[in-house]
Amino acid sequence: MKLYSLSVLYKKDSKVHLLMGGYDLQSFGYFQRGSVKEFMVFTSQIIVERCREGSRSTVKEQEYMCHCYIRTDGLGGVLIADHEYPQRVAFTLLNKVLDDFTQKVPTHLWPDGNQSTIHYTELDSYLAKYQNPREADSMMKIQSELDETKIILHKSIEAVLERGEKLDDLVAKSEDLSVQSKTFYKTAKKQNQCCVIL
Amino acid sequence: MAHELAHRILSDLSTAFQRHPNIDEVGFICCPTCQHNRSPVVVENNKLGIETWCLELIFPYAHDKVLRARGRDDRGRKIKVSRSARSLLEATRAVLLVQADCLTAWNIRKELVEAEDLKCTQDLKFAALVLTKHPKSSETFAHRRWLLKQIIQKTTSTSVQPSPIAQASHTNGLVAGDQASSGAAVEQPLNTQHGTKAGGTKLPCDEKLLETELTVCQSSAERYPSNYYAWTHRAWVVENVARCHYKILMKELCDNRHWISRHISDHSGLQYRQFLLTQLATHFRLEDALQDEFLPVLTAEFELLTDLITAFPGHEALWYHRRYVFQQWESVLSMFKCPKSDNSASSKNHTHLQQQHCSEVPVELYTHSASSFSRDRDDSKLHAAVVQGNKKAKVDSTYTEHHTIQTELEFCRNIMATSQDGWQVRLAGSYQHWLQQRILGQDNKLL
Repeated sequence: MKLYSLSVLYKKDSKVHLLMGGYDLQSFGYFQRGSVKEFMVFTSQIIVERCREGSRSTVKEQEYMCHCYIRTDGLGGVLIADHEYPQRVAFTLLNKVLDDFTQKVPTHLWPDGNQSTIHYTELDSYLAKYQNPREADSMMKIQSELDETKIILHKSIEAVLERGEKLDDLVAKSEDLSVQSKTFYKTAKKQNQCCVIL
Repeated sequence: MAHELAHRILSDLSTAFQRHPNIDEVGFICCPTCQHNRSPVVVENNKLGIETWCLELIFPYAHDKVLRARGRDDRGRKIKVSRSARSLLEATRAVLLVQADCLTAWNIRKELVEAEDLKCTQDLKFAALVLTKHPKSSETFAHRRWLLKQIIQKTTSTSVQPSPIAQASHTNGLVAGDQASSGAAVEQPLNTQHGTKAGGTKLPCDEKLLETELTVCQSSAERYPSNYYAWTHRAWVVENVARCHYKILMKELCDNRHWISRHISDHSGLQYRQFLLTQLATHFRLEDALQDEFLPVLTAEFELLTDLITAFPGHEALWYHRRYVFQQWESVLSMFKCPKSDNSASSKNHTHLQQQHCSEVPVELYTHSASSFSRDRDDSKLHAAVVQGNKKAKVDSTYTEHHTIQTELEFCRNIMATSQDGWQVRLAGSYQHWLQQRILGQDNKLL
């Protein structure tokens, strides 16, 4: 079981931007890591854009699971893990991170914040600590408060998209993805290599 | 024009390998067209990157070279070894970095090794590099096995020689070569071995060689989930390099426990674990320690599985492993209860099951032992006699009651009653069904 990325985003009037992200990309090839990271950010953003405030959802994309929680105040978190990682621990972690973030970063910084204006360095250590879900804490056994809201399950990123939207078009249009990452996406798709990238 | 360019890129590749002897990973850089006027071969941080646009140039070029070298051989003409060995090495290297399952290219390298144009350790290092890009290439693993056999043959033939000096210098050379070859990060030394004394407990192999090989398997398994090739190769290494040495088996079982706890759906990793347990069963049987040593191992295995199954619900691989462990458990118990020595005979089913296993399992264990240690065959026959006549033939009652079909069925019922995971309930149901089929099968045989 493995965690790849943990990001905190802010959603306001269906516009979403990344506030902070932490990544563990050791398991990817050295020359792929750059593109993989860009796609992790890209995917997290798409999912938060398409999911409602106050909802929890898990999007399965190939062998990856993207767990997403958006609070009613617009603060959202996305955790990208593999399929072995327990879903409940993933959402407990998201809860915890968003609470911690709220405590440490004042609310007025959220609407225009980005990675350079916001000082929040805990994500990497959360990611490292929770790599082993059992060492993280004892919550493996506790039925946490998550059960209030149901977790919506989507079978692919395409399933989250709105009618008429296509992932290919979103990738092509994206300004955050580099040319190299876009071609990476195209070749991976052409060769039907599911494991290459998100 | 294209040929010239391909030739130049190939020599760039060679230069890169010369300048950076410690390259430990290879990858492709996604770049469909040549955008800059610079070489598509990049080395950064000891990682070799090849831009994708040049692959379609260098691969046909190098592949053609490889095939032509082959064609000449078939017509019986000799290759001018001293001159073309190098170009063959370059060409096969380029082919294999792109397409690792090109058997012809590996075969040419085998010939180069035989002609002593290439050292086994060098080629092991190269094959390890190929596996960083193609972690489940079966031909690469097969080539490694061939290389390892060469090394083992050489070592054993040297150790037969009476001169201790010659032997010492040879092993030293081998160790030094291997140190250089372990480009991939060596995670942890095989600590348990260092305490081994000379004589009976001494490992039958070069520790460094074994360690490097296990590291290569580990990193390939990390790179591709449920990597069948990496795990079967690992089993081969334990069998042929470490000769199923007891200490290595136990060390591997322990290391594998960590792996399994973090890769709960890795069927291949669990299959390797089953290989280890089967080998340990053979070992303990020969040592006459099935009850004292092996049953505790199996008990720990049940505990591990119960723990993982409850903590991480819904993973099929764990349930299948449980079936294996239960079968092992029953077959070990059956050895202690040969037909008439069992006077308590709690239930008809039970006795019959044990009879059935009595006839099956020991045979299997004999064949294992016969293949790995030929001189032990007599020992095991003796041992079978001992088990039948000895007072040890009675297994401790704590074990017979520890895990039975009934306790396993209870475990299933528990899971099915408490789990909220639908898939987990189905898996428990199918395990329950499997157990019930076993009971049914015994009843049928009884009739």
